[in-house]
Amino acid sequence: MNRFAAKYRNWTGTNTTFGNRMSVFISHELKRIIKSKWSILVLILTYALIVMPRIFQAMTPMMGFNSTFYFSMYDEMFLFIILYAAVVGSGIIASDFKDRSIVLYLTKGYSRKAYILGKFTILFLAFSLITILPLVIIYSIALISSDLSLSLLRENLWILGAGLAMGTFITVFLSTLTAGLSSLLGDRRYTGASLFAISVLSGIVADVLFSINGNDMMWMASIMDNFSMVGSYLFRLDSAYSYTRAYPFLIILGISVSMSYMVYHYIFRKELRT
Amino acid sequence: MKEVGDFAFVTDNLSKSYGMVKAVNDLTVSVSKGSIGLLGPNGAGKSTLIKMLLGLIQPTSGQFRITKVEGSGSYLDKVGYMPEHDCLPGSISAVGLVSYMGQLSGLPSDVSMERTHEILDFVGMDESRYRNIKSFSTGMKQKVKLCQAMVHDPDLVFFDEPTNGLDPEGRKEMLELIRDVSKSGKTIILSTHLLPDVEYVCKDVMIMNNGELLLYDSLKETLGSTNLAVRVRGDQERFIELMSGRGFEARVMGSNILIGGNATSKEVYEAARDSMVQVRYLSHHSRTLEDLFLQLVGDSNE
Repeated sequence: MNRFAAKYRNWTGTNTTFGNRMSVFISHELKRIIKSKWSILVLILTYALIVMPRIFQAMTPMMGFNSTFYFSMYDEMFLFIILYAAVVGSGIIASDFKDRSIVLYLTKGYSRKAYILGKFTILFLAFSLITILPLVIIYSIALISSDLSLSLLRENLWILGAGLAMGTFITVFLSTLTAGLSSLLGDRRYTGASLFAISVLSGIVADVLFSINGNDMMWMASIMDNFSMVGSYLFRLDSAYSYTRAYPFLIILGISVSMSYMVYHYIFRKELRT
Repeated sequence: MKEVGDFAFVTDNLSKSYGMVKAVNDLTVSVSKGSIGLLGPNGAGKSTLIKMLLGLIQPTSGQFRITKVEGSGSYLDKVGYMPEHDCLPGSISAVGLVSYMGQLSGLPSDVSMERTHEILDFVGMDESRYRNIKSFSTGMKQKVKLCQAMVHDPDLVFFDEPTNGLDPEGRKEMLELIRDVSKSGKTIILSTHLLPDVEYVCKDVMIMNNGELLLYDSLKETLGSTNLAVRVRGDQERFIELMSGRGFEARVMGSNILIGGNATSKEVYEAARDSMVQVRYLSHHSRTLEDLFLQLVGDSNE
């Protein structure tokens, strides 16, 4: 095409609002990351192996209103959730650093705060597909299978609340951990591997420490066991460990805060690698 | 600090240090609208200045001001930036990326798509606009970078080494595009170390070295004065001293002595007679940007 056929044309009009730009940013990035073949594969595996059997079980009256039912689901799903986070979220900030496209975002009147907030929201929404959506689906089916009984719903609404709290807690933790590692390591492969290694290795380390000194506080080194402890509290189940259930909660909170600071540091404090 | 008013941007004692190194040193300047060439050798502080103005890096001290459009959230809504380095995600088409950048800059979705096609037409990108960027040549990537910088119709555009890595034909085309953008009433800042690029596109020139501004003036005014190039036999130093003493700028450039200040040949011959040297060569010499650049940078390095 001969470019001289076209002239540059000025534009006059009103710019869109901040909220509009934010929704463009979130929807664009969200579509990109959840459309990847690996993301779809892990989702299919998780739903086929763990969620679908529970959906069928929930069709049995009263089965879906048992807190152990949901607690064990999160327990079984944990590794799949980590795998999904590694596959979907590892490049969330690392890719922008690697191809240097972060410069494009930050020179478009799209502030750093908005960039970080947008990235966290994208991760939260993407991870919710595997941490919160299964719970909502299974609970809804259990409710429908129980003839939509209002009294049953009233009695067992706390289970839905506990599940939502558990799902949100896992999602927030993984969003901050993934974003933190992604900005720290700047490479999606390393981030994915680190996410998986932290989750799996922490369990092995806790196991080894426990076998050495027999103190069950050693299980606090394991990410998975900390979530298990928090879950047992939320679902009103007996604790498998002797220590107070505030510790695992604080450990997870501490990691989330540290990782959030990591993102803040790399995007705000450190000179951008542009 | 001066108000921005009719200026493109204003800086006041703007500095950026990396440890002991001052990348930009107490820069105070009010840059008028138009087409400005930002020249300097590598490490002069050009890119650092641009990155500070774009908010990518924080100044160590000082401040700057760029006109903000009424009703917009950030001054960057009316600023465009074409980075020097590769910054394009590979797994998206040119149309997808430019339109997305338009929307992030505040264009409504339909307007963004319309302008994306217009600007891609403007740079002469054909059906390849629908291909993923990773399959593009350097020239095509440069065009996409220009498009994403212009899609939201900014008033001020920074071009950081836009002709880097381009073949002669691609370079000429890129410079023509930038010149066309400038003619449409935009203020452009062309940062480069290629002097002919600035001469081709810009009306004003800023020269930086070691983080300091050496010159900011109209290119026409700066290069307008005519020099005399003289070669003499005898005590050259004495001749230069005498010419300088009579109020003419005289300095050695290669085998010639360049005499500025609109000196006439008569004055040169008089000085030659008085300093007992023989004039072997005399001609008019128009000062080029290269002469000026080498002189200013050379002086500042001494």
